[in-house]
Amino acid sequence: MQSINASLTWEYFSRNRWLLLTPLLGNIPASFILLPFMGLDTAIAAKELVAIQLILLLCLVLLIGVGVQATQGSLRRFYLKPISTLHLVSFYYWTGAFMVGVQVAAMLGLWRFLTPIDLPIAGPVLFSIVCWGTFQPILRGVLKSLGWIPISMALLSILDFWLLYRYGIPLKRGGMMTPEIHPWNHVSIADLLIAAFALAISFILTLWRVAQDRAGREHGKLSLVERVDQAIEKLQFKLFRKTQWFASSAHSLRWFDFNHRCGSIPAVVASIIIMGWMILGAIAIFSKDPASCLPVAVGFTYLAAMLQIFYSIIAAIIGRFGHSINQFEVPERISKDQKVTLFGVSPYLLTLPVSSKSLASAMLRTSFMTCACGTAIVLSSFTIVAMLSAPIGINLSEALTLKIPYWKFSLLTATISLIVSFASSFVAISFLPLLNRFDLWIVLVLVFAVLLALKLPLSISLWVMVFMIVLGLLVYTTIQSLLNNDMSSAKAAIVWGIGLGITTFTLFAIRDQWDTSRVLFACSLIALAMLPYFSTAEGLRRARTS
Amino acid sequence: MSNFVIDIKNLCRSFGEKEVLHDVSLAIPEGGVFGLIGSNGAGKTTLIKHILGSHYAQSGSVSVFGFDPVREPVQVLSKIGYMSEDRDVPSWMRVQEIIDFTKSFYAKWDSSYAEDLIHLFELNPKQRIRTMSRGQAARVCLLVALAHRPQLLILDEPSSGLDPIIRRDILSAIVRTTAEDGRTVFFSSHLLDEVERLADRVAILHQGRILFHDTLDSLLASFRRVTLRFTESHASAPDLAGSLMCRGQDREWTYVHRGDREQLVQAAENANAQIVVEHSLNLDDVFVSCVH
Amino acid sequence: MQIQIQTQGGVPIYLQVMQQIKYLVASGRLQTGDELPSIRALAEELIVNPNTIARAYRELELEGVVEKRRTSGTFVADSGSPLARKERLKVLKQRVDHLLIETYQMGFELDDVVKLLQQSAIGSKPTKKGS
Repeated sequence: MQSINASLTWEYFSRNRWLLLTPLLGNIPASFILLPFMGLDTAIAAKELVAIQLILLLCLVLLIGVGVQATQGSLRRFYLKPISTLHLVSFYYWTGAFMVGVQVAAMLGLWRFLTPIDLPIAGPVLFSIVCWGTFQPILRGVLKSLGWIPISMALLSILDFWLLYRYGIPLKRGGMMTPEIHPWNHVSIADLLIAAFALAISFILTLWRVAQDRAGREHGKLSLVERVDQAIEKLQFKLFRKTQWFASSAHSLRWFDFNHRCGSIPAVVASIIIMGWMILGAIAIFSKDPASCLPVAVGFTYLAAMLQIFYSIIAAIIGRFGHSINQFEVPERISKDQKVTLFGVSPYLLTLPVSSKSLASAMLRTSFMTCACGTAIVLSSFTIVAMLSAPIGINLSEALTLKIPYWKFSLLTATISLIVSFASSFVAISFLPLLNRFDLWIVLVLVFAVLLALKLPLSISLWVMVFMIVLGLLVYTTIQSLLNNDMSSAKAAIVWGIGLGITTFTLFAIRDQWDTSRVLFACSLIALAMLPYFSTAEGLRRARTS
Repeated sequence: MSNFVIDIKNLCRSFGEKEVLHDVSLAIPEGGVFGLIGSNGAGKTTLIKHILGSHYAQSGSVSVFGFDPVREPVQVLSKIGYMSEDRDVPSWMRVQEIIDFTKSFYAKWDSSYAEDLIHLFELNPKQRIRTMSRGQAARVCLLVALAHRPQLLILDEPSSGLDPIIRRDILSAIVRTTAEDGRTVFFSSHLLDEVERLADRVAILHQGRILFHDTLDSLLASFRRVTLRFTESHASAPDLAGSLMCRGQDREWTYVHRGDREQLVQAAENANAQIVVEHSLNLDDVFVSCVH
Repeated sequence: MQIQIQTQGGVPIYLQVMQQIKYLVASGRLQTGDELPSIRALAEELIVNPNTIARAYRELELEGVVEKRRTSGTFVADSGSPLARKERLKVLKQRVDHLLIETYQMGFELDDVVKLLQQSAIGSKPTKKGS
């Protein structure tokens, strides 16, 4: 009978197989930062490149830490087995630490080999192991209350402080260029003691957390989040009207899509902006110079606009790949016919007598409304700032060191936010499936070859290629949707008209900062936003039937 | 085209290397209850997905109400009420919401019938589906499938994992549906006593192939279990034409026989044996002996 | 109506329904002129296919145990008719056959059974129904 450790080790490797490599492979894009240094003959002291090193190291630790954690999965699957908590936690804690250390060392070694920079290895490896250990108590327990967010923030700050300190970056102003900075070349006794201490404490805490979870102690009490959720639910229960009234199936589809897929976008944007204004208001009351707070308002409004984009992308990716993320949790729970939510479309909808065309138009309309809502909120916030700054006499463009007038800036931000978030929310349906077409890839390679032959700079070639892909897809899908009768010619003409109109307006607006890459970038984005109108119906049709 | 509600011809389906359906042909007439029997993994759900248009026919053809479910989903699905094996309904909705939502898709939705079903199933219209027990959620699925009085009711393993009370609800719903003229019920199950009670016609699907497709009565009438008493003792079971299973020892051997009774009598005579006991089989035994 | 269906025994369901109805008629719990439940109602109660019940009713009608009237109901036929009596006798004969098999299996003789019958008959006084 083989030992428990042998069984656990076997389980770890068989369960993951290829996933074990992903953390290492995931660092390849980050390695591109080092591309310029590869193949240089002269040795470069790592001292010169502290900033790059820090970024690389942090990315590395993050990716590998997340990767190892993900491959280990949840410990819950062992709770019912006859294995003591101490044994269980020890196995995963220390093997995890080992794997993190080994992988970080390997990657650093590789980078050291490929580039003439003599990157330190020992210090960063120690750091990565401590990072791994520090977050184990949080990740291995039940994350019900929101308290883990501030705790994580605090821990991150402490760890970053240690890292920066060891790199000799003092806390006063002067930053990266003071002569005291040095790479973490020597691991001192103090480091080892700190590491040992941190690991011991976090190990004990992890043990405690897992024991609590195993005994089910966490599940009895309600956390704050759950209490709020319950209160909201009770309120909704009381206010619930007897029946909804749907004018038509299209109406009900839009209601469904809004609730299921994208209703949260304007809510997220609105809450950030409202919270921002509230905090700002509070600060302004107490500060001596309230007028200086206004640029901050621009800041968080801009943040909200960007977050709308980010959120749409994340939502689309989760919609497409969400079911496979569950694999990291407990793969055993996933049954063979686990329903994939196709791009956020509930599979339930596809059993109803709904044509792909009506579903597509409902989704397009809902997405557009929610993104437009979010954008409207963003624009209002920008306008409020403008209105407040006029009587006080602040010139916002100067205050924010913008090169363009404030109104242009806010309009541009809002438009980009609208277009990109709209495009991203459909990227999984309208764009990604089209990339499965091999004929497209052949054209791509040909175009790239032609461009290289013409000796155009790399970035411009890339942008031309991107633009050609998107434009090509757009034309192809337009023709296809007209042939399939998904779109009437009138509607297609309207979409194209609006698209071209926005393009002209944008190009006109940034005519002072013309740059081939920028122009192509803008055109590609607009084309990407037009694409869903033509490709969603067909995409749904294909996805419906396998 | 004759009045076949579902007409499947030579359907084949593979997922990668694995062949899930092989040369399946089924013609299901209008009216009555059709039971598709098979063990887990026999391909029942895959077949049902072809009927609904979720899978296209890799070879062969599928026709429902005369339409191809892949090309014309709206035509086909508007006449079908479907309850899936995993009771897939959006769990974030409330009962009343899902009723109102589904209502807008079906022209023949009967609101008063839906109300009756709410009372019958003891559902709280304001309750969210994700807070319901499995049985209650199954009832919601059933309600939504029944309320528009579909021409074709498709139930995929309707009773799996459910307690006896909800099972009765589902089975009585099937009975009520067939009692109304012209409506067809298609259900797949591996719980054979239910199929035996309710089905007019059955088909046995085993490892992707249809073994039988006949009325239930004909199927049961062609099987019997006989005990034969031979004149001499045999060490191993003597051959009997048409027998599927046998066991016994010495002079008495019990066979499961399929075919004409006259054939059996003839074969027994030829083998110098006397028929001692004869039983008819229930569907469970028939299935086991076919699939064995 | 007190009918039970079971799928275990290998007896077809329509046959079970027929046998039980015949027994109810024979034992007097269903009298002449009593209305049987509609096909649909009985099917819903027993949770069986209505066609099965329809077949049972058809066969019973052929055997004269029940009759269908134009007011679309099924009623117990007059038990005085020789057909009905014959059916009731058939039910009784089944019981007798079972009794005899058990008797021989347990090693008793026919005389023992007859003696038992006479003894028991003294004790119980059956209510007389139509002949």
